[in-house]
Amino acid sequence: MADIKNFTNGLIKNNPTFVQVLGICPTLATTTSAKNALGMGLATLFALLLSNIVISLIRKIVPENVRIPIYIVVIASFVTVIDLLMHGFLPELWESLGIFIPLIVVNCIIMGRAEAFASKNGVVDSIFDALGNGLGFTGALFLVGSVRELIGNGSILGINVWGNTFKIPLLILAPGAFLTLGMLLAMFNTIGNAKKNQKKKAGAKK
Amino acid sequence: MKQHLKTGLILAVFMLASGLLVSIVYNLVSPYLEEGDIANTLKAIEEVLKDPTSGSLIISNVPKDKKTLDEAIWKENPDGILYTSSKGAKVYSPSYMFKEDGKEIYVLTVSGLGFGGEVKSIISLIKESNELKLNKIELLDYSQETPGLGSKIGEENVKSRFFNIPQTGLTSGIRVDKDARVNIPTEALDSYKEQGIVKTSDVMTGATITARAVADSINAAVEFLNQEGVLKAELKEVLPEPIEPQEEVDWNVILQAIIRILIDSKTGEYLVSNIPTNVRDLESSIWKENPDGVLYTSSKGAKVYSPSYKFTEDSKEIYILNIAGSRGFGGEVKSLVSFVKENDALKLNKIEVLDYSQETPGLGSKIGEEKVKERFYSIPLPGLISGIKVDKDAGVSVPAEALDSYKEQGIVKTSDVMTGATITARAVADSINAAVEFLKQEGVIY
Repeated sequence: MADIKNFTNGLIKNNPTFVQVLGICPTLATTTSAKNALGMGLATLFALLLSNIVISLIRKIVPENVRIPIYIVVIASFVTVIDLLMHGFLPELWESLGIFIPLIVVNCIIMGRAEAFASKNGVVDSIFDALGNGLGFTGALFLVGSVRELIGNGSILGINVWGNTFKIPLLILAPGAFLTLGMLLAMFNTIGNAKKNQKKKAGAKK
Repeated sequence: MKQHLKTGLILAVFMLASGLLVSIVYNLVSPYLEEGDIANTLKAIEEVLKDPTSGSLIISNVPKDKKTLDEAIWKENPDGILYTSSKGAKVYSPSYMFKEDGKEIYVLTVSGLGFGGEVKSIISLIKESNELKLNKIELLDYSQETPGLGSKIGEENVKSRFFNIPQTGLTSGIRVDKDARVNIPTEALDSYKEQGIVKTSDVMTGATITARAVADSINAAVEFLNQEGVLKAELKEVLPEPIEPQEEVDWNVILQAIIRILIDSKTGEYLVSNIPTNVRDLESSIWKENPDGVLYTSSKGAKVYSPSYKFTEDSKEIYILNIAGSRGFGGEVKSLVSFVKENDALKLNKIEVLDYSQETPGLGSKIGEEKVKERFYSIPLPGLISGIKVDKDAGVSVPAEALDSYKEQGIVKTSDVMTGATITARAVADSINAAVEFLKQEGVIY
């Protein structure tokens, strides 16, 4: 009983970055440019998708007490595979993401989805869930990366937007990551709260 | 038991399956990785064989595949490493040499320790009519450097700062401007290269460590070439420039402090009748001095600074020493201390703390307060000889009424008046101990 809600839930309503505030380490560290952010997001998406599929398939044969080590092995294998493939075929991106590719292993979004969703649901639902959360994470990273690159360097994805006319290089440095993420979190929380209030009012009128 | 075995077996199966998966993918990808590495190396070598200004190739037959490249091998070592510098920078095997029109072109793979690991590059050095110069540099691996900061080292406008360094620069040792503590105007880049100073601070803000790794690796290459006899030069050791000491001794402050510690800690009267009123009076009381500025350094790094003073009054000898404990929280804690020798018995009279600006405000900086300083007053000879310790270090709890009896054992209570700042108090104790050791060395006490 595949349900498209599993997809939209992770993408927007329970967005891993902006709502659940998970996976903050790569969000802060790899979003120095939109391209890096996108690469990191997609790598995480693939790792999440593959691990969700496999964990959902094996959920009935995995003994309860060793499930965590098994999930970690599954996740680590896929991350290693992605790391090798990126090194072989996308060497430039691999170079600029550096240590953060191997660190996907400890990304709490992947572990969280494995434990909270894939280990309890069927394959198709798990795929939806992985795509929703993965794209939600990728989108969030891309947004943070774009804002930082735009304000810090005047470009998005290396394409000049306003070039040198307005630049705050601080946004590319570490503090900029915190500032940008904080501002975006505040923005999305405000929007979320406003929607909730609207719904409440609408409910009260009925 | 059966359950455990089953669980373990399942776990083992998963481990094996994942190991199998990774090894299959590795085998699939490894030719691409190797190809990529060789292609990268060849590309980098071709790049460094270009002239940085004109962009044209220096040699006519640039190696296009692994075979022709192998023919140009100059030195190699089965260990993989040809040279390691004192800073941990390495020259990797193999190294290459190309000859063209009386020029010798050396191509070396080098690395230096960066922020997250090794920063590897290929560099070319040209020897022409006995002059060596660094031609170009290409970064091979800087994947461990911070994206957006150190990883900028791969960008052309950063790399190019290391191009075209003449022999004078190479032999004086390459440094980045931050380490050399100079401010280089953009139009003077080349003249500073002759001194071995490379400006990176403008194009690579906040990433000195990565730039320094590249500088270190170039230095290792030069040291290696020197060792192999390519370059016959005296190499200078590269040391970061020391920060210029900017302190101006304020003699008035010292004079005031000396006058304060010439007051007897017990009676409150002056120990000497003719109190120095100006700096000239002080100079006539100088006891020991040393042009180095330091009279004594203890095993704990505490110092007795020059000059020291001696006053004589009746049967009393009063010694005033400039002391500093090196291990304060933020740096040296400097003080002036007075000792009184009467009937062969020495005691510490008073102490004035002069410089504690590096200590934490509100914690260590309390050392300047009277109620803290006075804990060090009037320490008798037995206490001085056993070595001064603060109560935290001595591991004792000193009751407030027993302060004096503990001073005879050399234990000074500071924990109540200066909570959480043992390090600063310990620095003062160390400096007093250094003063006592100095007095002993000079025969004032036996």
